[in-house]
Amino acid sequence: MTERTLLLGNGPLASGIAKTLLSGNIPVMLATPDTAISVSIDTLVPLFETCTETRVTHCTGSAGNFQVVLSGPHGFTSLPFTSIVIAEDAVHSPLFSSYRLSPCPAVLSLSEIRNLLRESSHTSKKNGQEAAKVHETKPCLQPPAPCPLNTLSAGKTAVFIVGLAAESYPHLLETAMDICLMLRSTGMNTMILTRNLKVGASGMEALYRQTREAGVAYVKFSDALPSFHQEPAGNVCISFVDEITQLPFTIDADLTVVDEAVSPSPYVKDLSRILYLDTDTSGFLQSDNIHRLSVFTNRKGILAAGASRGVLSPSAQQSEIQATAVTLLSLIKGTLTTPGIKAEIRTGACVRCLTCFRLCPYHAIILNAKPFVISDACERCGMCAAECPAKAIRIEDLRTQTISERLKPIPIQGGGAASFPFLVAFCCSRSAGRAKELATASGSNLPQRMTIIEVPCSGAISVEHIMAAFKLQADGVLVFTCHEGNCHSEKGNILAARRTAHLKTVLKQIGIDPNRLVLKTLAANMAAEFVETACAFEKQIADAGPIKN
Amino acid sequence: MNPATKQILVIGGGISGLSAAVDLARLGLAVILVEHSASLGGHAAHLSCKAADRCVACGACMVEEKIREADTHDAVQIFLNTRIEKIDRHNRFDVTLNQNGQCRHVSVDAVLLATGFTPFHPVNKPYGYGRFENVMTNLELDQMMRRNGAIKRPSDDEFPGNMAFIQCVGSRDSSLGHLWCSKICCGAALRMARCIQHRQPEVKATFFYIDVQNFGKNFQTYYADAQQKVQLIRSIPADVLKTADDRLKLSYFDPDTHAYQESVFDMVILSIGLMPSESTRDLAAMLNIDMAGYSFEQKSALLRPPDGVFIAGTALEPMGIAESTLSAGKAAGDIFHYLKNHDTDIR
Repeated sequence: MTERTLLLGNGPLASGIAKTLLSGNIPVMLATPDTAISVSIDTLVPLFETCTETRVTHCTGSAGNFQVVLSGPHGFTSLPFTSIVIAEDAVHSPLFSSYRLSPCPAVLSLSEIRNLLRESSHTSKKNGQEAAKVHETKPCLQPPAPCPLNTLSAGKTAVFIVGLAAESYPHLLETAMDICLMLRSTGMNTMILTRNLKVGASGMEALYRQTREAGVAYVKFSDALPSFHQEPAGNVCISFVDEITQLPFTIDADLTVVDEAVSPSPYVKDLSRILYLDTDTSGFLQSDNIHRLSVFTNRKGILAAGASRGVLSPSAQQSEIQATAVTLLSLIKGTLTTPGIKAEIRTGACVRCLTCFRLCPYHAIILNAKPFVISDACERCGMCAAECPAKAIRIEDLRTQTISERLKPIPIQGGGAASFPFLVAFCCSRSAGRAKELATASGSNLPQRMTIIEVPCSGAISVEHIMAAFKLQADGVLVFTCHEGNCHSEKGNILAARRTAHLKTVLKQIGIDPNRLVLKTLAANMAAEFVETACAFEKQIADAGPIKN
Repeated sequence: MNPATKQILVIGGGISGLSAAVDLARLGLAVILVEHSASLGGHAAHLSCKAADRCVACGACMVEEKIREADTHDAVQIFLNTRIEKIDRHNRFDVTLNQNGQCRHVSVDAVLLATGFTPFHPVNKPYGYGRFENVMTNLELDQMMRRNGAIKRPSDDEFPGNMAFIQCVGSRDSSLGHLWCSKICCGAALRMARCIQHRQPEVKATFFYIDVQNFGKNFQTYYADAQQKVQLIRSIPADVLKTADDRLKLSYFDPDTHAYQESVFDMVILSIGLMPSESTRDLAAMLNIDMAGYSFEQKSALLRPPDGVFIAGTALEPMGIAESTLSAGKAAGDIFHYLKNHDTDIR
């Protein structure tokens, strides 16, 4: 193996992934905009190279053959990589302003107090005192000594705000709980104010009980939130009416700890643009599409792990190390390649309108002198072929001509009434195709004369395909797509819906009832709905009678 | 290591087992996948799609894809209706499989427990489960939707006008010693309620809860939508009684009025918790794993199993479909790493 994987990140996750890949003899180059490498790997490992103050600025090519332009302290370099793994950290922004609080020694963010306590516990360890074992991600349960803050002493009150202004995350609550336990052991009063207690993570309910027993007080809010009044000295006066007892409370907090919003870093946002990666609504490098699980992006050969793909706890990120390595290894072994005939752009016919380039969800079409399909990156969704205005793109087995041969009506003995109605159902093979299989396996009866055409994605079902069905005497055509947000190609189902809507107006114009063309969204496990839709459609067409010319 | 000479036994054909089997096969390893029931997919294969007007990323459809991938991969050998009779540990593992009474011996280099969870049985809860037909578990509701594409009252086959969803049945329950959140039920119940409302717009849904847990990437969006369309009551009902006209009366402490309250529903759905499964205990015993204190409360000895034994999915702790596939990926990576460093070829 001569080519490397480019690993972007500089935290524990990037470190774990680097170690795992290196132990599998996969060469890695780690690049980070940071000024120093915090990844703890012997950089003398011959397969490992690092570069600091380095960003990705451009990328061409595809899986197995990326050419990446890196900008570093010594200018630009263009290097080849087989794959790219993004393992950047997320940004934690304190929500001070959401509560109209100003940061000061008496008002800290969750990260600030955690780091302070971690430092002080490290110091106490160095001082030769008996120290509890220091966990990598959690502060130790040793009282901080010497205490860096005069607010942290017996009898004082610390209030933690977690998930009041916006819903929070289990791992932030866990941090607050751990710190509360530590402060309780020094004799402080601790209180957590929240809306929904996010205990939906490993060991959290038990930890919650433990903190309750240790005397950590919890106040939950549903509608009315507490009011915060910050004194000139910085300390905060918190007043609220407790929802259970209906009693008013006022708390003078010596220390107020505010939780944080978690968002992708500006660099991650840049990467989504440079690498043509789909994002979710928050900007993390993975759309909310189950086909991207666990660490896939819309581009083959580019993986997004941990806090690059969403909000994940440090422990959940640990699980991503091996999962990322497995996916990468499979990529390199070529066992993730989509088989079958790929899209092809016919020389001479292409007018370079770039429709295909803009449409391809996998970024499998590149622009040289003319658009060109990278075969390995093509997933056969067929969107480009169906949308190409010049009809210059084809996927051989999805051509109208090829499909038409499969559209011949199933001959019925005797013909006549039994041969009517003849239906055609175009099915995305990922969803309706599987639903049909489940329906058949469970012995459901489907319409007698319904020809099923499975396509890799409903985005491949072109206007010509549907019209060919009508030309070949179909009495009705069904188009089954995945639900919006569930399309493996992100928008194949949306394009199919658009084409169907357009064709309905065309059918009307040429005197065919537009209800003879029906689009239905379906999931792979919706066998009952597949049968119901098909049978209802058969009845509808039977009642309507044959198409009159 | 020559991967093709290595063989891994994956016990459990649910989402984690299937996912791990496919991941391992893609790494070039040979997999024996054993499932005690007659079909693949585990609990996930009985879940229904919860899409409303669009996909809500519940992941239920993923199992169909995983089944197909495992089924069609040459390197995955599937044994249904099969139980593990005996495991002998030498250098490798000598395993006796019992398929419908027929025994078969296989020798493997590593074992992955993907034995899943057991759903909490709510019969001893004061919600009338097992006595009133219209009190169902969330799993039964999913099965009904999957089978019929619609929700009807089991007692009279009528469409319900209103439905109550009771959360944390068997989870977060110190009286039972179940100090864990089952993680998946809030998302499942709220998505299901919205899915039913999409198909049957006349249905009014009420959700009784302690705390709403995060689910999915766009939790905020789903939660905001649920807050609009579902009545959310922060209270866990005390009991469920049947009325004279075959409806269900729930009594609870209403957090808004601070008073005892009664409401009548056509159907009551119990979000039952995830419990450790007996198969995990039995198999762990065969593998000489000390299972003292095995629960979902804390990560137990299961996280440090003996050499060559690996665990994935809800055998470890409650998790959803997405997290199970991740857990399977982690296990596949750990197994690959282990096999590279442990030459079990020499006997």
